[in-house]
Amino acid sequence: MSPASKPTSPVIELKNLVKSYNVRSGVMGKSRELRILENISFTLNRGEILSIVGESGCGKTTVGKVAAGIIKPTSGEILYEGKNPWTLPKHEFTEYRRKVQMIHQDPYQSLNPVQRIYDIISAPLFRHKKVKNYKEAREKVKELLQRVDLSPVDDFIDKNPHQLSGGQRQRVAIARTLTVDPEFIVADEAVSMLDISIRLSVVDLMLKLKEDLGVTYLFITHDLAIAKYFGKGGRIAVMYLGRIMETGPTLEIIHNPMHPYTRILLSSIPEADPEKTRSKKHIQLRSLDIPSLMDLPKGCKFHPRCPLWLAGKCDQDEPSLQEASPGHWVSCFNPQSGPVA
Amino acid sequence: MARGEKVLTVEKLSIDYISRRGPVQAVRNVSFDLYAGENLCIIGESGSGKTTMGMSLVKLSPPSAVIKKGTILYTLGGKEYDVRSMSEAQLRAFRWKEVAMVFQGALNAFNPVIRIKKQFLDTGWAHNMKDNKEILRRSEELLRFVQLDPKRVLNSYQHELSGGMKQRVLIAMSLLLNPKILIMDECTSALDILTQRTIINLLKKIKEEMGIAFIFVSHDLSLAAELADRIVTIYAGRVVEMGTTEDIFKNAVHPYTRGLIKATPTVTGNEEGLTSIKGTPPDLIRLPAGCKFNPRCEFPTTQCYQEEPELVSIGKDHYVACLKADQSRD
Repeated sequence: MSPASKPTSPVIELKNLVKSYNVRSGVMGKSRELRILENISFTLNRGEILSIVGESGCGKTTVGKVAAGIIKPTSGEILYEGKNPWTLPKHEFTEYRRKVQMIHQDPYQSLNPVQRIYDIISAPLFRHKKVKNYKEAREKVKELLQRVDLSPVDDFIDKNPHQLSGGQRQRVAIARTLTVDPEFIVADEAVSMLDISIRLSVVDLMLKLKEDLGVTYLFITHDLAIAKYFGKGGRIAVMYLGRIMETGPTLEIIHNPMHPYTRILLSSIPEADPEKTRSKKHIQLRSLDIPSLMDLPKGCKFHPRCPLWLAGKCDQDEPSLQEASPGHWVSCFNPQSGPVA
Repeated sequence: MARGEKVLTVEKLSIDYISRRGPVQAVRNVSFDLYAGENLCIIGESGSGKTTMGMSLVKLSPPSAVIKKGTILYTLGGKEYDVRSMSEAQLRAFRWKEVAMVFQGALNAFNPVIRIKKQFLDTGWAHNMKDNKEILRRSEELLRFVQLDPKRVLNSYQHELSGGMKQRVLIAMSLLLNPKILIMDECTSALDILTQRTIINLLKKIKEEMGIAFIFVSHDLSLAAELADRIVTIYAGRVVEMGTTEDIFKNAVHPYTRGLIKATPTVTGNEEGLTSIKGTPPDLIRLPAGCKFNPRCEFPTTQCYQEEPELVSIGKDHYVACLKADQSRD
């Protein structure tokens, strides 16, 4: 079962995906299975945005890496345009890798400091035989810099990354992903490192690329406000301890969150409006500590912290995602409704 | 808000970093006051000089930072402390006892090879608390106050605690000597939403129950909206606007402050009018002539390119440094 979506052509599908690692505690310790992702399913159609939100350690980055083909799932299926990339012949796998690109969080680490912007952007162009010679490469790099609003282009093309600000670097990183004409971009906390004053301009650029090039996005973030801004017309999936707790259209999740975890998240966020933020009602957690992945509680993984848990139910059985209203899926025995704030 | 006594006066503070390309003007002519029991939030982006300023308040800035001029004067318990003229020994006694500080890398603030208990004891010993039992009693009380289990935490090493727990232990430790002022630099930025909420609520409780004055240094407007009584916005090392939280969020005058508010999306608000500030933060070595914000400003005049505006009062407790303060208001 997977959360439903419109029957247009799906770009990427994850079906009951599980990722686990074997870890050993101590030299002589027994090897144990550490389950990072449990039963993750979703479908993304062409030109759609899915934002994955959750706290650190919830597995959201792992989902992104699995979708980008960087990590091989332990079980379950990933389908890109209907085909499982892990069973494809090598040249088709390379093609899949080309179509799926990632934008990383830290533009200070994702760009080679000793290369010029021209070198950084032209390398994939040569690698994928998009250009034949220096002159063509130079033209193409200029065009890409123009596309990410780094103009005048001649001011940037021969600079090194350290001469650029954080926002400009992230634009270079975006230009680099565009070299290979990606169809699907996994943006992992792509704007969280940027200064507030320029953060939205990079988000707007990413939205413009979606309009112009029809790119599909998996947008991974811990910031619900940015998820709402970027993925207004898209969907959100809220993750907790490797599971999707709730998923649905972005505005529906923000205005009518059903899972107690989503509701607590929304009630906890401080907002840049003194009146609103000081009058917010905070839902109290039962426990402040996140359970360790090595020692997960029985039943619903959120019940030790959930203020609305049902004794004898939530601590025994684990709920599965159920469709509460069209497109809105929630994994909870005691779902709520209505806005939180 | 009823205002307490003035506890800190910063006047015309300027700090440069020495670098090969020339002096980095991290703090330029900054003046502000702090009153007892008040919560002051210093808002600025990365590279605006806010951390340099926070560090210099207790003279902890690195050797390459040179205080060129200005005064930092504390008035605590009837005594005056002029931080710039204090000796190293005097500073050691003064820090943590009168003014405690929790800095950005708070999670690395603990010694990894000794237990938390020992670190509490060390802190007490360094400030002439002789009675171990008394130090531990106080530590346990404070740990309970920050909602931690004292027995477990005191016997732990730092790696056995999560980020949120370490942050709370550090807050407890900062309260050990009953300081009158707490300086916090980006105290919640590395934390998850739920942990952040716990810390915010805790800080509110500390303020209410202990009457400590806070200086928050942050880039996060929502944190300021939640916690601050007064807000200082700094840009390129300079105070560009200062006012009560209400002044800043409802009647901001400086185009930078207004821009920051417009650039911050909220979960409940609508998206209309949300937009970034154009351009990029300035190079603190080669600052533009005139108003330092002029390359990013929406409505600069020729005067803005020639003259740097002074911070002037435009209402009770509301100050702004903008030549067009009259026009840019709503």
